[in-house]
Amino acid sequence: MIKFDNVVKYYDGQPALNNVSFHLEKGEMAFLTGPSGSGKTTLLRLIYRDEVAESGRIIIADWDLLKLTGASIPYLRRNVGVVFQDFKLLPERTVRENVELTLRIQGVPSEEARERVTSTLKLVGLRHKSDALPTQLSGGEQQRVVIARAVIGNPAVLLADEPTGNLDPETSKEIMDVFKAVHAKGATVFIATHDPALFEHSGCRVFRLNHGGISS
Amino acid sequence: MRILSFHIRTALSNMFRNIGINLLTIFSISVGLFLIAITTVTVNTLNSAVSEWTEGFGLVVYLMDSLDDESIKALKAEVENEPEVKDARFISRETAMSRLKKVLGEATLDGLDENPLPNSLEISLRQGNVQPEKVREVAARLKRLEGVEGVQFGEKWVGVLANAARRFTLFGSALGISLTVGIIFILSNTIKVLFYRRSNEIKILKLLGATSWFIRIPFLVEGVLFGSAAGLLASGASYGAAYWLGSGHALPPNLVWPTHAVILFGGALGIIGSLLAVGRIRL
Repeated sequence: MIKFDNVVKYYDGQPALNNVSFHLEKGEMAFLTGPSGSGKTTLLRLIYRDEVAESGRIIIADWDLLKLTGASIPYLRRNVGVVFQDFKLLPERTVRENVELTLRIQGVPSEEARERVTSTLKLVGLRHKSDALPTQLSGGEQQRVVIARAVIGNPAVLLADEPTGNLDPETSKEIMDVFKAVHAKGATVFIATHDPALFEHSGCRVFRLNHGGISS
Repeated sequence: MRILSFHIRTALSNMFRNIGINLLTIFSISVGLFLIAITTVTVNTLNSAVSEWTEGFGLVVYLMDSLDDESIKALKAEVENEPEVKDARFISRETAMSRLKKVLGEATLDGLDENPLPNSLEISLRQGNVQPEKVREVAARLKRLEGVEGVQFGEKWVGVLANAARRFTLFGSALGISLTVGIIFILSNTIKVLFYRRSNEIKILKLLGATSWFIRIPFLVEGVLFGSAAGLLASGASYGAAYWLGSGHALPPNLVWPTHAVILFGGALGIIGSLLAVGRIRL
């Protein structure tokens, strides 16, 4: 589902990723860890084509990202749900509108979209906050809105960048439960984190990034 | 249709979010549209007045004294056959004299032993044939007819009126074009500013898989809404002004149509302005 072959990415002449190769099976859940600045976010951004690699090969489902045309990028992104570290919520839109946006972009009819938003907000425990603005929510609640927005389109791949970064252990556990539920539905889940508590005893593969290289 | 209604709702909620500045934009566009509408109504009214005035305008064909009644009848028929001629009326020399006496007074012409005036045909031209060149051309053609002594027409007045109407139309067109360009410029810049103000939102939409047209359409809709709302304001104001110009009487539809058309015109300028703004921005 996710395949990196000798991927190289430079920032300002310095290698952020150096000959990175790994492979994630369809429906697998895995973790990406490493110290701050090791390239975790860069690697995820390469997957949803927010960055372009200098060389190597990246395959996501049937998409060869280095050959991808600009017009095809939106269609790749509809298949890759992303839980951003900085949330990227629209502050002037309600929780419902933020989550619904994914479906609107995909052209889902409004009635179906309304039903799916309701059930997804229920999944992340935010049904009662659907009319609130993101600024009226706590960090953990905002994180759950982002997760709802990422999973509502039933993406083949779900990426999460430090999804429990600033959350207390209990909220972190709740959020991990949501990821497990999405994974159980068949999605490939790839979570970048520097918190070992998330992947220890998870039974999932863990990839470690260090000095631009990767090991598992 | 579903997608469009979503974009219209998005555009409306975006517009209401910055209602103050947006109302100011709508107002400034409506001033331009008002001027275009009222100028067009004025030009229409002037052209219509000139056209009405010149409708009764004609030529006088003086006939040779040697023509008998039969020849005059034949010549009248020949003149009426000319495509530009609406009708030809025979004025006998006696009628001409009595008219002259009415104008100058009976006493002035008492000393005349005989009537010096010739028989004549008074000719009205069809509408659209009163331009100086055309009148001159018709006069020259009539002068060549057998039995015609001479042709007289108010060449100078025809020229003055036609020139005045042409100048008004030219001035109106120049003003209209300048204002149209100005309005497109305002609309395009407004949409561009909105676009940059929402750059963060656009970045997020792209990350969620929005196509470039999904991002552009709300801006196009906003352009149309800006233009149409301004057109609506301008329509009300210009209709009121046209009513006032008509001294409290509604002008006929053939003159006042620009006050209604300005709504559609505003919408069309909205599309052009926003297309110019978002069409050139790389997404």
